[in-house]
Amino acid sequence: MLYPSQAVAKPYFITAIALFAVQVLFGLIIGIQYVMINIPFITFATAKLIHTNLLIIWLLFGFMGAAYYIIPEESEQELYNSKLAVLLFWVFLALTIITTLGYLLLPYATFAKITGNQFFPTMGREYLEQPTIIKLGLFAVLCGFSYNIAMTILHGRKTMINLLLLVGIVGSTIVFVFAFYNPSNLVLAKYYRWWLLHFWLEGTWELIMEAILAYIIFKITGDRAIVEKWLYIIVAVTLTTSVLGIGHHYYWIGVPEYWQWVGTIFSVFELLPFFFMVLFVFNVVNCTKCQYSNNAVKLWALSTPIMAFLGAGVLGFLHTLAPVNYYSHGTQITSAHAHLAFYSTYVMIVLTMVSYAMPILRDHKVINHGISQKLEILAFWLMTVSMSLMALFIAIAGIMQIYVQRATEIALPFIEIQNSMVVMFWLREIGGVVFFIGVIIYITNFFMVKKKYGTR
Amino acid sequence: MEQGNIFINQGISEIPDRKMAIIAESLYLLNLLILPGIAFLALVWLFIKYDNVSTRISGCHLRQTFSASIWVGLLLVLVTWVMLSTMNHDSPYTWMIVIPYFVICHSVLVLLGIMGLAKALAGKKFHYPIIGPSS
Amino acid sequence: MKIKISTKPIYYSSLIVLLLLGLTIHTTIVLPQRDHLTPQIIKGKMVWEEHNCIGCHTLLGEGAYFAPELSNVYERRGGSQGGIYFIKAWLKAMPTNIPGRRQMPQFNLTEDELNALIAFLKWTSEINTFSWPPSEKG
Repeated sequence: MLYPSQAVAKPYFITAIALFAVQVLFGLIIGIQYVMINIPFITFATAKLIHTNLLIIWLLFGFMGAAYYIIPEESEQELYNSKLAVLLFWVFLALTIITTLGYLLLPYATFAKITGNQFFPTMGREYLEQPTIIKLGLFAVLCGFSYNIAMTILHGRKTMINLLLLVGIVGSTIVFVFAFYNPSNLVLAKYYRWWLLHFWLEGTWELIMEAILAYIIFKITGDRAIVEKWLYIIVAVTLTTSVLGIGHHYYWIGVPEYWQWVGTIFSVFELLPFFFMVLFVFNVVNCTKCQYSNNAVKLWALSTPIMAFLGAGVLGFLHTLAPVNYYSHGTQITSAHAHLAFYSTYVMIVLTMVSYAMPILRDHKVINHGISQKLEILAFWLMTVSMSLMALFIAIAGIMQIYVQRATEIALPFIEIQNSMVVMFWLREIGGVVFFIGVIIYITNFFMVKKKYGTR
Repeated sequence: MEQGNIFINQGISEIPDRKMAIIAESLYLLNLLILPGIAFLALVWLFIKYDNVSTRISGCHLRQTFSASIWVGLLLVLVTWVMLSTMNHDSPYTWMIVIPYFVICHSVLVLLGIMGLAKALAGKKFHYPIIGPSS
Repeated sequence: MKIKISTKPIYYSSLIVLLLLGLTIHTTIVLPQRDHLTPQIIKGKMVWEEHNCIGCHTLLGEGAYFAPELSNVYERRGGSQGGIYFIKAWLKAMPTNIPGRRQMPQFNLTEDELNALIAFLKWTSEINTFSWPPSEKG
């Protein structure tokens, strides 16, 4: 650790991986409910709410930790205000716990009443289910975070990596304003909901992900010039393709027909950033003689673009063209894509960062020998393979659903088809259990093993 | 690296080693992604015209991509065609097998191509596992 | 190695942003002319949101994939012939408690809320989605 204020990142990372475990646990509950076992005390909607909301929250924790770690080092400057960073951590954590408990303990409608949703309705939209006041709190946290990062960079060295990270962070904060805009016309409400979700997941978050990836690759290879050259190309491609790629969410929600053309044409090219990312990491690693010996980090960093190419790129492309999407929209195909894309782009990049930074933050040497490396690599394979298989099973279920429910002459009702897909849902649940084991190994590795064997 | 139009200023056999390796890998990827068939023909032409037996990097990449492209044809076109012509089109199970097979196969082949292109850009040799010749 | 930063991509992406803004303005102007909202429909949307219906169902394909698509439920259940009565009876009969079947909770909606919700679903079924969903089953 070069700058003491980088230590702020530690609680963020710990919270991120802890919430990750909780999120996966709720995923397992949903998976069980898919195979027709009714669980007492928790409905599908509640478990799903926590599964998706915690995902967004812990990824944000991870990004914040990553930024607090990277920015001082890149700007050669202590964090502008590390007390603010700690304060924001506790505020964010409190918001997360209150929201999750609210979801768990209260019926959603009661939660909406208590938090005054009727005065400013923003709840009840996918991924934006948080009460309006919680959204306001979240916005405040994001603003404080952006301010802290921006001031640090302003006073310090400006590099491509930290400027890109800044653009990503400030961009996410600005775009979050759309969380508060919920027009009473459903079509417009859906239209502007995507301005938040699309520009986060396929815009600003992608920029953050690219910045973190570039930072890690730079740390592995030590060659800044070549990393920045590639980063420039990747960012240019991302920006030009993802803005109008938003059209692929607008095919069937009731907006004019030209969105089908816009979305189809631009989202074809949304594969390119991932293509270049794979090319980037392998080219850079081939070009330089890297002496870096934390193999787990190297494995995470090299696999992230590959998996992102498969999950976000290929699986996304598979159903992004309007004529295909006509059949696949709102089926399990979307779910398959969402699972693999979230895992491969955002979960993997945060875990890469955690794997890289945590040993340093815990005052160990950068390199962790022996059992802890082996365990981490085992966790990597368990998670990555099981998530890929889960996506495959869900996709197969989706193909079946499309065929029987939509593409044949005599379509069957929704609920009957779900019963016939139950084998795939069982396989998916088994994949989920393996994934959860991977998560547990990953986390115990940090909290148990390194204490014993890590320091050499 | 030399500037200007290499095809006019020099004969094809004088294209720099690394550049030819990059062209070979790019044609392999183009064949998979946007110009199926056409890019393959261009690759065949290069393979015949250009020195592909030497130990130079370009020779290695030409041999590898030529062989891999033939496998691409077998795996993606022939196997898919056989599956589609033998299986019942009115059963969802056909599509539950054919579509995932095609997508997985195709994306793995593309990823291998990207690895090859990364090696070519770095001026190194690359061996396609299973689908490339061993030498 | 010094990198030459070209500003060209910035121009291209700002052109694209302008195009997005133009299309958005057009979309925003066109929509209210096609869709006529009443206070009841607006209230129905609120009922829909406050009971987290997208936690299980999809509406115009967005939501969870645990329960059927509802943008066309009004037509699927009989339209003007009986859609209203069917949906109302259905919501009141929940949960079905049929073993092995996914259960929907009882939301205890008032008569007023039920009517608003159905008006909202009726309005949604009339949105021009270019004949999506492909089949009546959603």
